Amino acid sequence: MTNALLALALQVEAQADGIPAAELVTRVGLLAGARALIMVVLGVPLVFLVSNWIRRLSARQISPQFGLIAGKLVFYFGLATLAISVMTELGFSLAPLLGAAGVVGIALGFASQTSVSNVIAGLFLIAERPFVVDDLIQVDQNLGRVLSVDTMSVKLRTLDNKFVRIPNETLVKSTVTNLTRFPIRRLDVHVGVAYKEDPVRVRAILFDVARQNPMALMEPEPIVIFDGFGESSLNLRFGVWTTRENWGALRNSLQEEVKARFDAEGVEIPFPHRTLYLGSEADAFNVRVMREERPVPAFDSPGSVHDVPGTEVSDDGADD
Amino acid sequence: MKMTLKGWGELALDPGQQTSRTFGALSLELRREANEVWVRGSYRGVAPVDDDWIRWSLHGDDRLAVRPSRPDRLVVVSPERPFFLPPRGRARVFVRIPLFVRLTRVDDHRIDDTRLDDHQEGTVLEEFPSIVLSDTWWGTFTEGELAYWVGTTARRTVTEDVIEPHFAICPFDLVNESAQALPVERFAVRVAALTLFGRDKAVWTDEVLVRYHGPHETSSIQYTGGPPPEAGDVERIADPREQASKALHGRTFSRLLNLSSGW
Repeated sequence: MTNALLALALQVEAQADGIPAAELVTRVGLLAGARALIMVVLGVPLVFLVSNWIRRLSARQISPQFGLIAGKLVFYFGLATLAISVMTELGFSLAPLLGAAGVVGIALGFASQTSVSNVIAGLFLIAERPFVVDDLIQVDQNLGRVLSVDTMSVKLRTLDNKFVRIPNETLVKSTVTNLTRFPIRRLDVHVGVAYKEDPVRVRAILFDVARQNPMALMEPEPIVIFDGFGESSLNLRFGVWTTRENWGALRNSLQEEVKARFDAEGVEIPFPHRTLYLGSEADAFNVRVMREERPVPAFDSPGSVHDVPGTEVSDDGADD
Repeated sequence: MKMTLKGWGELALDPGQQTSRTFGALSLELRREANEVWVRGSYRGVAPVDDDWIRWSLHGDDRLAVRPSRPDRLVVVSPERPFFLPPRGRARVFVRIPLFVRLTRVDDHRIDDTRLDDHQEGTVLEEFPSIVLSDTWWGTFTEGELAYWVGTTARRTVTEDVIEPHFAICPFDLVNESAQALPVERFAVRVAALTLFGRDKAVWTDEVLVRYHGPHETSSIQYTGGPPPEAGDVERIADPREQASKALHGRTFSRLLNLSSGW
């Protein structure tokens, strides 16, 4: 693209001045060429060095993602400055180039609305800092660790090791949940116990389960909240605090321990019950089981059935 | 200086031998293979399993020792029966801090040096708490640090029955310099800054002076660095893990916290 613009600029300038194209080459003297070459040889490594230094310094002083973006901005700005300087040194007039670039810029502007929006959203994300690199965040259905916060997008590594790229604009518009922002988290376990159980006793058992678990924190203290009367159970919410690193492990161990402890203490965890009534007037009705007397299938083919008068039995058919 | 603490010190363990030591609720088992030491720590009431063995590759002539060590985190002490300290009041309480058992490889050039200074005791292989400790949080919901929780009777005097080799007795001088009563429900001990002293089976720390200036001021903490008079004739057995300044300022009393608000 740059070469095309350059060629276009050269042609425009040559036609405007009435100078043959071959003569243009003579304008670029050896001295200017050497200076341009030195600028490239020194300038490119310098741009790399400065951008890296800015990136490291910003990452250390402010945040890693700010460092990434600051480094990239310095890098591109440095390269653009170097390119303009080299072209000026070679004697090219930048006015026609900028004119052409302006036309192209309008076209590009229309085409890159989304990109610009993402860049601006990225600046907001950096300023607001809702998360940093290595935080565990949830955006819509995507849960993962932040790999990088770039000018255009945020990259996540999901817990099952998938790579997710979320445009910055989407992030700014979405609800972002940062699961690792604070050092401690509460694990809420929803527990249902049978109606016959004493909630006070169940509460004491749950507190003891929390006290016995090495990952549960003594403070903030665990909580048990009576959530309400369910269809088949008394619904309790058992909240236990732990460090963010232990949250996943506690989720497994605590629920296993609640189940084991309830089993040991004889606390019933009910499954949904349905009791059907046939009305208050309905009495129990007697059932008689009629057993067929089966003749010995002496000459018949297997599977044939004979209608034989049945014999009444009043028991549960234990003689079958 | 020879260490005179009972139960602690070097372990004689030849290749092929197995031994065990008990410190509080901890049962420490050691097994020596050809060029390896196998270590397993288990606690009373919990059956040890084979997966708990930890292997260390050592030289055949490396010697081992068990040393008392302070917990590796802040310890939050909670009196079983909280008490109030009146304005301008002062109280001296004794708190038992559970010790950690540190298994070390004795460095050859320090064979005769049995002092437990962290920089002189050799290579630390493993550390086990002598009792099962519960975790707690010291701080607010958004910042703070992980700590161990220790219940205490916060005794005003020390009697023989509370002296055990796996506990260090820490004398606390609490001074309420504010104009309002101070409820002592729990307070934090930065154990890394404590010095250990001991003789026979008693382990002591240096005295800690805590001055409370009010709910909106930070408390000041001073570590004297010397043994308390109650300890009698004791030897210094371990220097502080971290060299704290003589006067630290920090959150010491739990009334500065706000952990109970909201759910």
